[in-house]
Amino acid sequence: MGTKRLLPAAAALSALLLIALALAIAVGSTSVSLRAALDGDPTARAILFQLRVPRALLAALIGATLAVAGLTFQTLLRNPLADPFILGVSGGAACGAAIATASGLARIPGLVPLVAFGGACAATGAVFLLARRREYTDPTRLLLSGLVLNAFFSAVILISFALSRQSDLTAALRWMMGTLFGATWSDVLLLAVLLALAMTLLAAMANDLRMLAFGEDDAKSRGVDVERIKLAGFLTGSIVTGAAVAVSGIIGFVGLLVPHLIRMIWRRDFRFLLPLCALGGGVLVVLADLLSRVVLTSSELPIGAFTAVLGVPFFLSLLRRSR
Amino acid sequence: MNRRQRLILIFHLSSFIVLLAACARPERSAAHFPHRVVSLAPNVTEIIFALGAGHRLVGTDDFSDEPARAKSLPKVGGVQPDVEKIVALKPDLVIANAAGLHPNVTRSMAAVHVPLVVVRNERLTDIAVSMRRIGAALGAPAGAAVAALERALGAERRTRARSPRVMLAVWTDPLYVAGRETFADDLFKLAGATNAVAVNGWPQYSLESFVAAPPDILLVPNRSVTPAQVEALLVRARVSGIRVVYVDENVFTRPGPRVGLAAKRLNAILDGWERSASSRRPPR
Amino acid sequence: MLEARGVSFAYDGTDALRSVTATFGRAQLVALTGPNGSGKSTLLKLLARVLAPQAGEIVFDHRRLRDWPAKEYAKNAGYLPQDPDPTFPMRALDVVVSGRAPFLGRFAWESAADYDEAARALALCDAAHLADRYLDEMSGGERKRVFLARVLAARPRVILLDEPLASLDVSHVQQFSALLRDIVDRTGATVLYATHDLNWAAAYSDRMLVMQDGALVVDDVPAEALRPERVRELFGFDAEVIESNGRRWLVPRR
Repeated sequence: MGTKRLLPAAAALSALLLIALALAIAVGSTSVSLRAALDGDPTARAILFQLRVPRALLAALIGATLAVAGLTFQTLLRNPLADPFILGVSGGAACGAAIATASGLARIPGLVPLVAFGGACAATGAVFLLARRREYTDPTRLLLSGLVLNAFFSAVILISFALSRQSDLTAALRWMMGTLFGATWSDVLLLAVLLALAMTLLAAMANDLRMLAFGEDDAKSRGVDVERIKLAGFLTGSIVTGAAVAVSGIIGFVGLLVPHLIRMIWRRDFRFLLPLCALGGGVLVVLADLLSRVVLTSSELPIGAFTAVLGVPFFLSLLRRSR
Repeated sequence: MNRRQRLILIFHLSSFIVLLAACARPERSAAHFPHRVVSLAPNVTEIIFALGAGHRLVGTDDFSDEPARAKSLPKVGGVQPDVEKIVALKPDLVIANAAGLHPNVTRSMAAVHVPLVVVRNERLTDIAVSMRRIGAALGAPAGAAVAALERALGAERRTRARSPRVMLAVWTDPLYVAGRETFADDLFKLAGATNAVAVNGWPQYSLESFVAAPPDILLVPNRSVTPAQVEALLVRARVSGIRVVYVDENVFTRPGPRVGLAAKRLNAILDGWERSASSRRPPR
Repeated sequence: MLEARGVSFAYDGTDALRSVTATFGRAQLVALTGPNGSGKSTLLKLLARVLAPQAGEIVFDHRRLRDWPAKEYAKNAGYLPQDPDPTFPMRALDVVVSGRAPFLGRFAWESAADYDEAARALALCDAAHLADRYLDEMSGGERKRVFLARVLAARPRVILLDEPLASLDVSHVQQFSALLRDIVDRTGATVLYATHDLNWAAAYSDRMLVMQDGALVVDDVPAEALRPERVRELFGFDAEVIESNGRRWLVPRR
């Protein structure tokens, strides 16, 4: 019965996603014809298949990842204000990336994402060590630890900025504002695999995860291994968020906004919301990336600005209608 | 034949074979050298023109404005170049400066199979090396340009009795300066001056350090920094007696073929300062 | 059926339950009373398998609780904590059908049969008309009935309720107490509920357990549990039990 209602919703969002992807591939800073590409024009092929298509797909994957992670954390922490970054993931990743960029190591391709991912994992580990007491992961302590760690990382980032060269500083700032510049097929593959793994795990835990909405004690009485679910859920969400941040910097709003938007339209439980958030997140980021590329003729604006610009009015209108 | 004759024959044969091998190395024909080049840095653009290959440029970054012809070339962006635009120009070579090159540009160029050459221009001596590398990549002989550069620089070498303390500020709020082991520092040394900044690189400089060891001459790039900003800096530092000189930004902050001009200008500034300093100071 | 054998539990060094032993058979409405902090919630949590006893055993159907797979036991014992408050707004029917969770496999959705059980449970709680309403649109009493229906949806043999009557107005207290009585009589389930209200407990229950400082001090039928000397000893005031219509009431003397 649940699947019956899920399929039309998923189909609608998938259609939206396909339209968004088509737009993102068709529109860019140069005009390219699909015909020319299919006929074999190497320039058209390079622009479309090596630049635009991977970037559009990566945008969709990043959006899906952040929305799914946001939904998971909101469910685990029983807090509608949670987003994928509150457990220190963003702070750790940004700190790693800032230090790497500010010390001029950014010219080594692939180093910054690796260090960023390492920072994200280190931060996640630290937050857990701080919040776990005798086999019990306290959600409040998790939140507080994440907050404190994020503040600490901000301080480290500011210090590394102060010590850096001016040109490195610009590069580091741009990374922190979030960008899909330079997306390649290897990025797409990496994130696709990680997201698929994460979603499979989350889908397997979905039945138990949704029971957490009624409280940890209640869930335990219904046979849910709450501690294991929390640990698995937080780790999955953090790792996949860390990977997204490593690839594209910090893109805000998606992880917080999309789960709320989806929940406002379809007021169902986690099992239902999981695939819909993935699709919805994909749509939002693909469109935001498209805007960030075309608003200015010769340069790109940070994508985080557009996730807010697109998401917030929609969110507000839904909020007003639901009251 | 006797032993001596055999040895001579072997010697001649082997040298002939070596010569043959050397000649047999295929001459790279002009058709294999890149003819559609994109430059991603203004100093690289100037080098390409200095090598006489400017006509092969099909696009440059936003900041390339020398020589005048470079201004009219299609632009592909600034700090974060638009890769689509680069590819749309159908280049067979892209040349970039290492400093300020976004790592994702390297990845994107690889993804679209466009050859990318990255040159380093941190020190004065790097410029000649870059010229030779770019020349090799383009198949344009660099000898003449390098010789001209070295001549120009050699002509500006000075030693001065009392080495003036110079500082080049690229930004005043906060204060960013040219430190040791940079091409600016090399220029100072060449002209017989000393860098008032004691740390390496292009660091942010504290007001305290500025006050503790103020320069005799403060060089300021004419376009990025306004007189008001310099005034504000000096007022905050409460230091007087510093000669502030505005220098052509394109010459002083670009490690390229025109550094000779920078050196010349620097010497003129230092000579002028020495003259007025000696007339001001009472004899010791 | 369900036995607690000398169970003890301490929170961070503070004793909450000290060697409690009690047996619960079929079709009993059992009231668990006692002052705050006497261990009522803790006992319920141990029986619901939310906590594990640090000493002693809990046995269900002759098997130790720890030997029961969690989901299997959940099909037999339903638990309703104090003040349930789901984080996100949900429809009553969806809330109730989630009570069928122990019966679902890993990637499964609720079937039509599950929804039928949910509807039946709502009807049992006189809340069928609330099925399509959202929780945040309901009164406290209505919400409690929906959550009781959620517990009943699994058709458990043991129903454990923590202060279900607290903060209900008097008409709802009466309705709820009568409903619990009805469930025990009709389905043969055993209901153990914690409450502060001696009177309503005495009026409807078959058995009263009184706890004090983590120990079980009284385990008897209401008439015996509320004998005047016991009441004076346990609660510090003089009272007597009157009976009317088969229901008992505690009347204070002063």
